[in-house]
Amino acid sequence: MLGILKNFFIVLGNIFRRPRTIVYPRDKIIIPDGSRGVIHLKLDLDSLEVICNGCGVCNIICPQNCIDVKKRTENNGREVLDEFRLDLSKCIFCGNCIEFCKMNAIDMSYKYQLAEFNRKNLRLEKIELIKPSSTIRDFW
Amino acid sequence: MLFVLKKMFYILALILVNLYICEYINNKLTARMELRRGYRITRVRGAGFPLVRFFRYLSRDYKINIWIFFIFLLSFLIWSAVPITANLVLIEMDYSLLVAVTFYIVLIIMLFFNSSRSSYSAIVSETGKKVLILLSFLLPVLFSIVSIVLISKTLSLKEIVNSQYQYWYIILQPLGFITFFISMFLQLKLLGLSRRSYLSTGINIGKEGAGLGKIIERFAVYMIVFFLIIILNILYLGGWNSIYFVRGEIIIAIKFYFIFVLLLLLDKAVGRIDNYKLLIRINWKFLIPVSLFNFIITLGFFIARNIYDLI
Repeated sequence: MLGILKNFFIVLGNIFRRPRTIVYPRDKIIIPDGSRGVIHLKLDLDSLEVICNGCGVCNIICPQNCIDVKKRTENNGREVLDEFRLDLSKCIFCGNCIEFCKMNAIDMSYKYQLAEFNRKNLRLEKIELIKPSSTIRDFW
Repeated sequence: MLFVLKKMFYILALILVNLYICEYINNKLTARMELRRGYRITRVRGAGFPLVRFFRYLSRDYKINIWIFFIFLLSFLIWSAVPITANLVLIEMDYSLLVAVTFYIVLIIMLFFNSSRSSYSAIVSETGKKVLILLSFLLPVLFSIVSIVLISKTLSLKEIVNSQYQYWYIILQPLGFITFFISMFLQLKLLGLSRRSYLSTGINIGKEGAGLGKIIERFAVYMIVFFLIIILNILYLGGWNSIYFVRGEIIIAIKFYFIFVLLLLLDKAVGRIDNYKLLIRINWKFLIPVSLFNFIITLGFFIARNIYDLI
């Protein structure tokens, strides 16, 4: 009996609370902290170059095998990233690549709306992954 | 003749408007209780929802059986005996309470017959079980009604309301009111106010529940809800007696919607009842003894007052 009374007041209170669901295109909510979006290649702020040296650990660790990394050696013997491809149609946003990266060169952006008409557009190149604008936590 | 037709039109219009509003409130309020927004296919906060649902059901193919016609007819016939307001009653009888309760019982039995059309034996047996429990819940209701009849000394619903001009019978019969309300709530729980607990479909909502037959069944359930709320209003809450300068029609409308929302809240608070044994236990160990106790006390007072002139 007490349980029913307690439930009654909870239910009554819910009427005056804000609904949890939203009507998507019209109403928007802030992306929750720590949400996982498309991965982002970090830049060295001094030299404005990509931190990633193309070691390929992310490629090995990826369970979906959606990352493709190629490196090249420069004249001075330094290894740098040549190509970085991400296939979003396969990616499950597990975050393994970020956890295992030794250089701490990748992080996850909050970019979330990824629907595309063309499958080719889901294959992201290095330049697209560097873009900093998508890392800002925003409304969706 | 024209006068009767006019009255019929008013009653029909009132029922349909109330049906629309109650279906909308049912959808919106139950959604809000679950922190959802409710159905929003149309603009103006989903005001067109009942209409959309009506056409959605209507668009499905369905074979109509004879019981559907009877249910449809009886759902309207209930209102021939029950006065909604002081003047809005089709046939004025001295025993309208008896007729109304009889119509109600027959309507419930018809709902069971209607479910027997189903090819799923589980649905038929479950509905039969529910209807039997429903009929057993009528016992406390009948005891409460008889207690009221003993106090007011009449079977006419209109006179019962008129006899409450000084004080409502909820003051004289608090136990009767409690048992009536609880048994009424549990009846509505079995009939299915919320979407996932319809009488004939129950948990098998995916298998059955479409077409004109479903609309009429739903309509009948709403009529039962309206009937029980109006009867509760008339028996215990003063009916259409005006309070100060507020008209009786407004008063009964306020009470009607207050009880309807209260029932919706309780419906959500209690949750779905699949344990029929629990219902039977509540009925036979609480509702019937309390209502019987109330009836015996009332009978004692009645005998002492009217036969021996003691009080």
